[in-house]
Amino acid sequence: MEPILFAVLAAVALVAAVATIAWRNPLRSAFSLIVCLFALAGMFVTLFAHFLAAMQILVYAGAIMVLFVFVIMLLDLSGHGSELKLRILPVLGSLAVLAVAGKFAKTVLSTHPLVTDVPPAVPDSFGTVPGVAELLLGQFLLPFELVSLLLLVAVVGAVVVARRRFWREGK
Amino acid sequence: MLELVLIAFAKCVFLFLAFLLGGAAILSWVERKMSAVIQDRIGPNRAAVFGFTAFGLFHPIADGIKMLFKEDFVPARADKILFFFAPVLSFVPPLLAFMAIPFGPPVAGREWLMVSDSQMGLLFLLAVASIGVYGHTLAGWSSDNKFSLMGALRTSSQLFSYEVGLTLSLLGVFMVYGTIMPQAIIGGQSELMWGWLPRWGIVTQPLGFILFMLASIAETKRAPFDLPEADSELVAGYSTEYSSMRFAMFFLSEFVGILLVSAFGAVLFLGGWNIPFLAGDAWWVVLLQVGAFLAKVGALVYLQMLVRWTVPRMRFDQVIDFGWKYLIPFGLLNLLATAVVLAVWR
Repeated sequence: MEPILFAVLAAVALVAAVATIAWRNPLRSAFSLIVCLFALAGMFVTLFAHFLAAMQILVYAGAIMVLFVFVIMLLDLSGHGSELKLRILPVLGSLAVLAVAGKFAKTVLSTHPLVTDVPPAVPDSFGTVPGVAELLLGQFLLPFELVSLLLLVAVVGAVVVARRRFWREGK
Repeated sequence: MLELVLIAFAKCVFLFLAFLLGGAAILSWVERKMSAVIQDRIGPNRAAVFGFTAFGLFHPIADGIKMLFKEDFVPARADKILFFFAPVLSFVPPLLAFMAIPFGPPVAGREWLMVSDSQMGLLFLLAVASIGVYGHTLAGWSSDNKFSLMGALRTSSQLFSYEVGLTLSLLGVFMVYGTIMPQAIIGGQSELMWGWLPRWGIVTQPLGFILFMLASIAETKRAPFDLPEADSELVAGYSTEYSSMRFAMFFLSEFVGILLVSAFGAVLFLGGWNIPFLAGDAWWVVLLQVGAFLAKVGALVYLQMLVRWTVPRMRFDQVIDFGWKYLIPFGLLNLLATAVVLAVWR
């Protein structure tokens, strides 16, 4: 059952990811990305990471992508986005893809054989809310709190940057 | 494996046909009759079969047949693919979300009255329901119509704002009962406080219940929060260019959405299928408990419809202000108070 699910989800994720960069229309790209996120969430479920899967959909597909779509609709009403025409971008992009692919290939090859018949040994609480909570709020409490602080700084910074223009124009 | 899949499929079909389609059809009748009573009219009473009108109960069927035979119109400059997917995307998520709603207690040790008892619990419901916004947003954007686009923009900003408040209002409940699994939350609510008071969510989280009701009315996009389709300003908002069965899907998804938030509220705040002082696994107890759950859902639907036909529409900046400046701070306050009380209690 799992290999079939993996094949289907992986195919959907790949097609959607390619579609994300292939569509000319930014809104179609955004929706392809949402499909890709869904496929990834499905993969998390097959890996017993239920909480992560729910959060993937709730936070990324349900909240962050809504903002993306909102901004795209506000900025680009005609549906034909301005295309960035920088010659250097394809070269840089290819290099980045090659670097990431190389790293993945190295990891995969070093853990050969990749597919085993033995299911991974995980505790029963793995991927459930109590399991994730114990890790996040116990073992990784300090990094978790630091990330919250980082996000808070980012929010305050965004507000300051956005409000500066109003302050100048206003008073 | 196959048996599990077949059972889940059967449960889905039953849920879809009996509860959701039937429920949505009846709700459309209830809404028309209620609005008529509130506005001192008679309401639908003409559709008749062999001279019987049955208080206008045939109207949902007549509506359905009319919708099926109307012309299916697609604007020439619409984005065909997205225009086609939009109604589907608005209709499917609320249906999927019902998978996490328990309609009754486990019978003979198995969850016969619940489609899927997954580890995600009620997070699944929240996650899937948060996808529904795309249907309406896409519909407005792909129609190539100013009014539709305005409706789509309003939908995405409004639903995004109130989703934060909705989630915050639920966190208190999750904390009090210490779980996100629906059956465990109902189990916690089945206990008694001081030997006589049912420990329902509405008792332990009164502020949370009020915040939840406000946010859920905004999430179903109905008055006083019906800005996305404000008829007097935007014709019909995101669904302006839709006709025939595609429009009917938006129409149905609204009623399924009402049923969903009401069922969600009943599970979290009204004790789900719990009847205080009644326990056991006799068949009539289970039957009564399923009935109690449906009655609680009905009560919340009634409350929603009453609000919808009594309160006038807010202005859009008021809607957004209310979401960010009142709902979310009060939600955070409720969360903090709950945490403090729980910490002291233990």
